[in-house]
Amino acid sequence: MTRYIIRRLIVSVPVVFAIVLFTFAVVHALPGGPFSNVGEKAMPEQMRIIMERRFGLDQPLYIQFWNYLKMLARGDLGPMMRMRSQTVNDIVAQTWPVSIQLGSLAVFLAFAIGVPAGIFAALRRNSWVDYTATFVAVLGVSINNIVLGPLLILIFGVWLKVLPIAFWGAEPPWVLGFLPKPTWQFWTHAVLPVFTLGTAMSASIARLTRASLLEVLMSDYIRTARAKGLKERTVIIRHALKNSLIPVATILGPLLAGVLTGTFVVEQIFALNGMGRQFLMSIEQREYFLLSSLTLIFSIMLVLGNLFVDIVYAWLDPRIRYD
Amino acid sequence: MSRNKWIILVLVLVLGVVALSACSQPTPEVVEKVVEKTVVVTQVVEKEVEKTVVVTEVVEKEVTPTPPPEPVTLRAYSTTDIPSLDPQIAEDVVSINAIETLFVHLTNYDLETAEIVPETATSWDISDDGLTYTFHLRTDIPWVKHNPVTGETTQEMDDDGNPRFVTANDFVYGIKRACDPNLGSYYSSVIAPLIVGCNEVLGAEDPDNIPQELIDAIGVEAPDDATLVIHLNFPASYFMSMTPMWTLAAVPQWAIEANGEKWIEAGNIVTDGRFVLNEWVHGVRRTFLRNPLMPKDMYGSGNIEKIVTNVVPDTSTGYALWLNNEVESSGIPDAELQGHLEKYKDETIQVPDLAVFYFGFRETKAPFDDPRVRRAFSAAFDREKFVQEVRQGQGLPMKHFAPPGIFGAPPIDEVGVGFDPEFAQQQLADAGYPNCEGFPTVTLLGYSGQSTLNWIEFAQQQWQEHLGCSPDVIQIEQQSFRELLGATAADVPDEEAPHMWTLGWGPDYPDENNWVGDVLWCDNPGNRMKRTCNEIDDMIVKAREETDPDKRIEMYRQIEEDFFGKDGEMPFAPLYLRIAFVAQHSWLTAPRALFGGEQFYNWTIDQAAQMAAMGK
Repeated sequence: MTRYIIRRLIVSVPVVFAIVLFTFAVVHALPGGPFSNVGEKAMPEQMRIIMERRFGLDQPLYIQFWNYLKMLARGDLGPMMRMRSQTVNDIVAQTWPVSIQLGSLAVFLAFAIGVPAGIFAALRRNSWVDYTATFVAVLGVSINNIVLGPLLILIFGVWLKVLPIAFWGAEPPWVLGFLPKPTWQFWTHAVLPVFTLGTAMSASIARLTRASLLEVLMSDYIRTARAKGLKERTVIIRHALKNSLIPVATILGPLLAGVLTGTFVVEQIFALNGMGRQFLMSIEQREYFLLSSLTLIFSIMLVLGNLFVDIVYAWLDPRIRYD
Repeated sequence: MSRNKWIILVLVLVLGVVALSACSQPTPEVVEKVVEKTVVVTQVVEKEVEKTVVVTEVVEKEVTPTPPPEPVTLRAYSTTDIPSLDPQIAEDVVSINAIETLFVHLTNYDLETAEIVPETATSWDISDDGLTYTFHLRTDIPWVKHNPVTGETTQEMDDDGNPRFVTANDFVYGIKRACDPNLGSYYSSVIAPLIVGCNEVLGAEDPDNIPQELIDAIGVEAPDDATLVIHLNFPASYFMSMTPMWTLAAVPQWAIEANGEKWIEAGNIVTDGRFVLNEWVHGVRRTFLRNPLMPKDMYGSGNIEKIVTNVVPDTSTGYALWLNNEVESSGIPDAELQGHLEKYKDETIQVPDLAVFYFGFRETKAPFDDPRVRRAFSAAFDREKFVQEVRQGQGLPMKHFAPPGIFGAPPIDEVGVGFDPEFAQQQLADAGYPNCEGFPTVTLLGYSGQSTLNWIEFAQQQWQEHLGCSPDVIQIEQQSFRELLGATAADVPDEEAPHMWTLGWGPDYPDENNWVGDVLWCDNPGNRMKRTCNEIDDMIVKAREETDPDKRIEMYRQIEEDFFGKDGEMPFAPLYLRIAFVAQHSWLTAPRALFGGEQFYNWTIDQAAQMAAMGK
């Protein structure tokens, strides 16, 4: 397994490189540059040229990319071109922990709700439990975060006044660089954004778990297990459940990569200083270094997420061997 | 129950207790006090003995310390972080508001009239030829640094241990710095044409090696600490209206040289304004506190002692915070506007930002190369209806360019054709397109987004209704703002440029020159309409140098008439002045600044009412 992991990581390097190169080329191809306008006014040509030269944007694209790679090799993600008292490293250090905290709590919530709900629905197929779980799951998938977030704010923040409307309850400096101090303030501020983000995910997981478990329950080896006289509980927990989680595990990789690197909508609605908001800002303001670096982080997380899924596969299904 | 289950149950309980204890609210602080009491006991025993017994009691009691008075706090939100706190670099409203809070300027704008009033400069003289401005400065404004950890604000000291006060030399450094092309500031290009030698530095061939003699030749000097002299290239009558601008502010040279780009960060920044920067958590929050070392006569008329501004990118969330009494004022989301006006009319104010929007015409591209066509399209647009229906009342219809509040702007209803369908039809017929017959297909380029699409569709309806032009004749395109700027630039060939587009203009300083001079003047590099120079442009140059204010007003009135009157050139169709509805709680009295940053030091909060609303 170790050799497999190392091999996968080595193979991932060109993939990540290709993604970053592609992103770098695409963002530079977008019309307008970081210094083309100031708010609603056009930047004077002479100033634009000077500033582009200062950040090396007057160089051919391949030289710019090479310079960027050299910066990355030094651990420097690049400068911020408009907010010049900050660097991309500063922005990532401030915002990524918030996205990691929000994303991991949401994924935990999604699995904590989604897997048991899917199991109960499958085991009580065509009963009120199944119908209720399915209804709630469809509802969860259908209600977009952009609707659910403001709705929760209205109900719990404005009407009932029991939960904070906005902001994350923890700030830098982080514990170990990315963990929050688990204060009361942190948990109360986390409830609404985590619920908003986790709900749709839990609904998808519940539906996937239900469908997968139903399929497994009808397979031959389950029939064999039952024929051997095993208790129904043993059949489900020992034999059916583990295999039914393989499709669920498949979505785990992209899911983790997606939510741990920032979720724009939830961060925007709840005024969280996460990395998702930076993605959009970097596109709007043509912050080339920031956008390229965020893409780099996202692609690395995606590679790691998929690798993690492969490892989980091996644990879930003993037939899968990588060595 | 099996052994395993018991173990699991116990584990769950333990974890639950741990979690609950971690999540529990902090209990009131109990202070244990050891009180020493000395009791003198006199006893008669076999012989008289005086004995002193020291009794030590441990008394446990809850002590509630007297809380310090809550500072009067303005709770605000902003949709972005502060892009820059550097006065010479700042380009946007958020930065400019923060800079107004932290720095004093050469002069200031009067809140009601936008006239120039003293700030650091207590008086000024203008030479007879209008080329030399001499400012007499007060010298009792200290440079201060605030320590966010200790909460202390201390005055800066020079190398000899003398306290530093703002001097004319700090302004000289700031103004020369503003001419440095390496700062990349938009506003450098606004001041550079005026100040002697500034344009030469800004346009230096090699910005990395600007000759010292070029920098020395910039026309700003400090004969003594209290006198600042600025030399102009031409007698720009509007220069005084630019003196409150942040770009011309004094800055602390020693702090900038010590910390580079990081000099603006909390803990590094040295300021001379009414507030100090106590905290700046990037992307999250900034907090300002009153500068206790500021001369008392500069405190302002307000009572705010602390400003906490959180970053809330979404106006809907900001509005929810307002509904919850967590912020004093907020923008109102479009979807909520009508409901808000019905429910909270008394807590709604209208705030103009003096930005005027228009449909630009490419004057060199047929059929808009004919002024009659331009006049027809402008006069066929019902601005009043547009403001009411499309802008939900948030605006003021405009017939000419410069809005009220600008020096030289004509009264709102006296100049310009505005909406006149009969005139429009006649003009179009005269141009050879009666009822729009034979009119070629033209393109109208707008910003991307639903709101701009609403504008454009409204315009299509208007031109169909009043000119007879089928909507098919007007091809709509939408692009991002950056793309639109690129597509309408003066150097784009006519065949690639759109016939019409949407744009707006917000002023930098309150003078007509910033409107007709900086937008419409034919020699302007940003001449998007591709105007050909004519006698109006001669008048623009004359007006900017005219020293008699009354004559200037009359000249600008004539210029606006020549552009937007019945026989006007009509380079664009002025549409409306943007005015925003803002939700504002009744306990806040906040006179808004028409120009420059918001003057929070002149805002007042009824703290008792605020606290009551917060349930305190």
